[in-house]
Amino acid sequence: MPATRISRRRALQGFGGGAAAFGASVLFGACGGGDDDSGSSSEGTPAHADTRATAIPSATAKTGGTLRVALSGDPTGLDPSTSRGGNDHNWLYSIFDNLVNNDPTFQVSKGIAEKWEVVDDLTVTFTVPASGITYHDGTAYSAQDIKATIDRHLDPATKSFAAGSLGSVDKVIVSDSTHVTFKLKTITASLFAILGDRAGMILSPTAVQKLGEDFTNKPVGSGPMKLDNWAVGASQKMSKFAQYRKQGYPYLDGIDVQIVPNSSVQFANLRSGNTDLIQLGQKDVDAAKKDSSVQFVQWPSTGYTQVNLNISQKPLNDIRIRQAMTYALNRQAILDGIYFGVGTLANGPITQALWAYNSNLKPIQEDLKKAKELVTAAGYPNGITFDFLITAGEENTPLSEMLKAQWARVGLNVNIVPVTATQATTDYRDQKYPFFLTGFSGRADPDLTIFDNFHSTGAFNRASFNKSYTKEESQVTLDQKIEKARQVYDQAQRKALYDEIQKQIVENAHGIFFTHQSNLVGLSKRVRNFTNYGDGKLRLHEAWLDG
Amino acid sequence: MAVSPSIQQIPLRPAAPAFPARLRRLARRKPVGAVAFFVIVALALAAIASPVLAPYDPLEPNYSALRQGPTLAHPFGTDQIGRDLLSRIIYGTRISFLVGVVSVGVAVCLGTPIGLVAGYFRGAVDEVLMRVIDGISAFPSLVLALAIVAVLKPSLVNVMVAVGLTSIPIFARLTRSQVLSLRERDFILAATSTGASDLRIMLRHIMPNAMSPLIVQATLGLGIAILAEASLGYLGVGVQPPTPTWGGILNQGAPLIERAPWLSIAPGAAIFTLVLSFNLLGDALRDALDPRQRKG
Repeated sequence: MPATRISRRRALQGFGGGAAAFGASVLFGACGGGDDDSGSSSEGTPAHADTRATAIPSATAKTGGTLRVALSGDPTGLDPSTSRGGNDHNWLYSIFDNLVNNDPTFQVSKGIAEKWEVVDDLTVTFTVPASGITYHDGTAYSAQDIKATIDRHLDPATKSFAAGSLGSVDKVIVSDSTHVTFKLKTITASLFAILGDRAGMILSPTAVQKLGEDFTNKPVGSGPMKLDNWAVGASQKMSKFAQYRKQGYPYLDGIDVQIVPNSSVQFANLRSGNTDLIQLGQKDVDAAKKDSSVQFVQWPSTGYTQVNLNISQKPLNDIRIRQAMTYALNRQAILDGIYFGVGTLANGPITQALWAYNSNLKPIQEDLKKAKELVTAAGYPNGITFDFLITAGEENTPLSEMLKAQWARVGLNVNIVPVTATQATTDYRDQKYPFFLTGFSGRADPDLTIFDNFHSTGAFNRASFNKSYTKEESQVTLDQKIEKARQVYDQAQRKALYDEIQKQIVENAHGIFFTHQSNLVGLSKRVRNFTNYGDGKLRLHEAWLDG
Repeated sequence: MAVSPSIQQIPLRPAAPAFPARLRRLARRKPVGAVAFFVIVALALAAIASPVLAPYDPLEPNYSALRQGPTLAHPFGTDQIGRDLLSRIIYGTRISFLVGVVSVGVAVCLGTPIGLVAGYFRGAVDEVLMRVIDGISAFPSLVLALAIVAVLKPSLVNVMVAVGLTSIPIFARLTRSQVLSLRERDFILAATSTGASDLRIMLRHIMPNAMSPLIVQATLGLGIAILAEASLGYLGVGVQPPTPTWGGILNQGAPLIERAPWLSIAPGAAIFTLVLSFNLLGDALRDALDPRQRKG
């Protein structure tokens, strides 16, 4: 049925259509705007409107030079399968080449695959080069490597963190040297977004076999940069891969990443000319805007700040307690006090950066009377005390104190339990605490954010780790809606479904959201053509240095 | 052997002046030490009277005064969540004194007996005990305290334990050196010859004569302990939020030093003042209690 094929293909390729329009306005329409530190960011102009300045006119790209980047911590690993950190992409996208890419506005774009076709609901075929791609270890690519990469994710022995997002992939067939077909178990509207992320990064099979578990420390892909050295806790040095698939790229000779945990030190290094690129903290936004010696770039993020709830745990298995927690919050105080007014008040888990953002949903207003009534109705007229897991830090510590004070007003008394990030992840997964202060960086497709966090089997839904968990009514209906939304190709239909899903998540407090974040980048004056991708992860093959 | 009553009545030295008079004399001789003493007393009173002195609840946020610089209403300014910094500093004094006193108490109670036993018995006992002390001393004290708190989990009690344990070696060594010198003195020989037990000799004859340097060291140790607590708090492993401690307040203020410098200045100045006061008082006491430095 050609007609069906075409419409579905268009639908798929047009996932980012709305996003493209929005993104275009983001990239070009709002230049120079965005005085957003007013604190009244919940209304009117989005507080994190893009401020990508055109102060430095584009010029002919120059090649050469080493870009000095300061980031706050090491990657958790550089094997796209086993690494799990949201910041890992800042290295992974330079080292690996994806089957397809998510462009700056989350539209699917070419990667190794030059074309793709949705043959039917459960079949997607990619047209790929037969040869001409080389890995950093000098070995040659073939279409079989795509199948090998996906199969490796799906092999339980790999323990791939991307396996969940590829769960609907039945098998990958290499039809011939230029065609790779994905057979799906169910319609997967987010397939392209998934393949534009970790799951679609193609690995050198020779290196995978040779290095085994050490692949995560010595990754070998076919991306624009190859990793030369990784001094844990100190630096990563990458150099230009001369045989990169895209001719003329990258412009840079190398990228030196320095690990600088303190954001104030990062900013000081940028201002003193010792660093070319940093991810700014909100507290430094004002200073960066005023400093003519640096470039400042701000654009909406898919990320949000929140407390992650385990709704299988007492007392959060009671919807009334969760609702009381959300009604007791003064989100404006959180935005102004902790995030310096940078960002917007969250109305749910999908931000303005994505086409599925529900603009009709308003952030929940503080209502202490209602919150108290809910706590009383839940059977705790004298209040209740429970533990609150956090990883102590520059933002988390004062934020946890503010939350504690806000919840205490309605009888929700929390004991702040600060532990290390690694400990927190383990303890929380092991059902030791009912909730955890941790943000989420968002994903290129709403399904990836919604399913993993709010479906009862989602990879980040800690209730799914609780063997004795019995789903509450709201979770049953939410699961059904989430499953339905991921099986619809038409974006308008998906948007309507996600609008409803977001409303239910917020109203029944499956999550408690504070703010939608902004991506904030500071650049030295010599950096040109920095591209701000919607997911905020660094992709630097297009950047170049002037001087 | 009978002692002649006439000899017994001969005073060995002039009668000591009354205690207040001695204090006055000491204050005149060591004015810096006297000022330090009064600063410590004033801060100790502030710690006791925190609920009366603090103008606001140290835990209560004021969302209309977020990160406000010093004003009449908030002389030290407010923090990220609108809490009054002056009130938090005043309440923080409690933790500083508590940690200082308890951890030095732990160190004295454990370190002194170790030094006493090691120095008195010498030989194998001395070797074993002092090698253990050497082992503890081999670690930088802050690193050791960090490790102890990391194992025991950060809390007020554990911080006091950690700081106390890391201070044991200095008291053990000091006591041992005193004992080694004292146990050779004639009055100890006399006590031994009268058949006094080891315990009695240690507690009744040696310890009273070894107290002066221990008092000085304990005073200096208070400053060190307060600084250690502040350091642990600054590193995020001290007394846990939202309890106001000077190190904790500094920890939260430091990243904002450019944007809100008052968040670092107030706790920094408080730590500086109290630690300096203890050090100056310790110096003054050392001079006052050292017979070689006494005039007349």
